[in-house]
Amino acid sequence: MTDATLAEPVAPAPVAPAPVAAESPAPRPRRTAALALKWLGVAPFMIFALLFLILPTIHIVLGAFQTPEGAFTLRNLAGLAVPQVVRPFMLSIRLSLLTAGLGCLIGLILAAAVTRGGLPGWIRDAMLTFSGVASNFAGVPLAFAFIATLGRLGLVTVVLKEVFGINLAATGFNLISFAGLTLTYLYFQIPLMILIITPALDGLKREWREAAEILGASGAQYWRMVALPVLWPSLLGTFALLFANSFGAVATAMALTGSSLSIVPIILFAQIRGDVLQDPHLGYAIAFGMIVITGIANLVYIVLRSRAEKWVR
Amino acid sequence: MAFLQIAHLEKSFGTTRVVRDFDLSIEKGEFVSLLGPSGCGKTTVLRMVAGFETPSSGAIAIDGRDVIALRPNQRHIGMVFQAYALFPNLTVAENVAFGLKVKRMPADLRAARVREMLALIGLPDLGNRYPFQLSGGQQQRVALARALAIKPHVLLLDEPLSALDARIRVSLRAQIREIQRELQITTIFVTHDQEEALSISDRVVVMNGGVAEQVGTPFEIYNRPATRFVAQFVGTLNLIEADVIAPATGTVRIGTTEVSLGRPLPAGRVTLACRPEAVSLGAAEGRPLLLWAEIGKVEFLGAVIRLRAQAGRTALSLDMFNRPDTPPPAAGDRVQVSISPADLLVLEA
Ligand SMILES: Nc1ncnc2c1ncn2[C@@H]1O[C@H](COP(=O)(O)OP(=O)(O)OP(=O)(O)O)[C@@H](O)[C@H]1O
Ligand SMILES: [Mg+2]
Repeated sequence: MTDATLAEPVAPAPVAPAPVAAESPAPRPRRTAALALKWLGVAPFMIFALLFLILPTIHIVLGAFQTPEGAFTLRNLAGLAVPQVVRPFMLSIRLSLLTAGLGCLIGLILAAAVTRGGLPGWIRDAMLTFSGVASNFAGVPLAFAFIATLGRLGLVTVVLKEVFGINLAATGFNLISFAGLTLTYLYFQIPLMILIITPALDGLKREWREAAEILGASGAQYWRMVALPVLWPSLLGTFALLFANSFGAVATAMALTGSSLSIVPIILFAQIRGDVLQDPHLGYAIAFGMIVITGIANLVYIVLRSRAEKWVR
Repeated sequence: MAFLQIAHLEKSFGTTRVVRDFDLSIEKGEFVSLLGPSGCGKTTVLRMVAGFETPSSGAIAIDGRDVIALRPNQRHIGMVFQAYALFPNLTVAENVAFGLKVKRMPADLRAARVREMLALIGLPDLGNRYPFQLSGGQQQRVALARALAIKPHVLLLDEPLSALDARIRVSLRAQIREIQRELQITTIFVTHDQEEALSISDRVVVMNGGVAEQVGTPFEIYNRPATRFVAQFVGTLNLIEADVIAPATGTVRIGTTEVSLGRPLPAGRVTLACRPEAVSLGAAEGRPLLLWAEIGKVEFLGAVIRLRAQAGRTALSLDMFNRPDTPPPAAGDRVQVSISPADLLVLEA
């Protein structure tokens, strides 16, 4: 969705067509051929997933439990319990919780505003289109965009100072900080929330709101007693997704803060390059920790999502 | 003054006027249906009464009080929607209790009322089910209970049966009417099914193109339709083209047959209309309009047999009672049919 988590973005490798089952004289050749053809269609996906997702993951998980000599050990995982590792994990979790929470809240309000009706239809179209673009805007270009606007010499910073006399730096704001990173992440978190939650909001039937209203409920009561409970599984699920999305983002953080802010992806990156701790197997353990946390977030998402779909029938 | 008074109601969406000069007075406890084809403005009228749409002009008063400026939740109205309006996250009992809860009724009174309502709709044991665990008919009954739980002064139903199977539709409409009679609640029922409207209403409003064409009892609507539209929309109608040859005595020529209707008619061409049950087989006293016809189809409907016949250029449907001792004519038979002039409506040609 945004940054590559572990591997750097890789252009899809040209994939050799899988061998077609033409060699064995099958009892029902036409059926077999049709079946083989169907599988051929998804073969590029399978091969791609194997090469760039499954194999690396297995490699990392195994590496996390191995000594450099290849023997089984728990030392790597135990090695995570040092402040240089724990602090980045906590920072990353805090950053992810915060940007996921704010992303959900602000995204929900925006999506609710355009789906409730009353606004001209083009606003909804424009916002969804923009969200589609912005939710994919990440990495170096996003960091550059923020530096160019809110950085020390950024356009907004300068205009605020020159035109309105507001000195952004004097307010304590610094783009290369936790707050700055939060703000930058929100740039793709909010649109992602809008994209995911808009269909769920569309699933709220007009009759529910009107029935609640004519039964005497205020707008707030309708949201509290009907809309939010119905949306709740989707909201929690989307929160988990936004969490994972932020937790794994590395390129944006790297490009924006260099290595001045120690969030997990950055120390991991440093680890892989061999800058700091010189222990590739500790790197595996850190990556394993990330996989576990991201995995939990996605598991929560999947479970809650399937529950959400039971309501809206 | 009537309990529910609608006067000169108008509604436009953009430049299209979808409700025009709509008047209706409903007495307390009366059951009135809005009947009309799709798009004629029935829902729009209902939603203006409920307060979900603001009229472009006109007045709506309930119990002598102008409600135009009131919000839906201030009008003491219960509403049942076409389908799927139950809150999916709440059980049946919680759905029924919803209006009581937002009105802060104490929990014990609330529980008692919910039990009473579930008994009223005949689903006393389903309080703990979720809406998706109910059939369509059960859902609509729960929706009715939810609307009635707050003791509204007026009940509005917008095609509450149209999403259901035909058989359930018939039994549920009878049940709705029974509950309405029991509670004596003033009710507006929207439908595009004429049989439904005629069978359960005290009065029917036939709407067409945003206009109330006729307001009357089912008997009046069926037997004395005020306009050509009402005549054609409600029930089956035979249309007979006739030339008026003596306007003063109302003598007309149909094909080669001449007959006097005994009332003055406009000169020229008229269209005469009659119901299938007004056409009889064979000649009889008091039925001077006699036509020869060839039987086309014979439809056996049980107690009634409907015959399709062709008299010259006029297609006729006629109903005869099914009597075991008089078998109906067969397709291809030439028969004489007769009609009483009193049963003929004159539509402007
Ligand atoms: N919000 C709206 N904006 C614009 N036009 C509308 C709106 N609501 C209804 N209309 C139009 O008003 C006309 C009457 O609609 P209405 O829903 O009242 O018809 P109806 O008699 O209830 O029809 P049906 O039997 O199909 O439910 C229709 O032509 C419809 O397209
Ligand atoms: Mg309608």
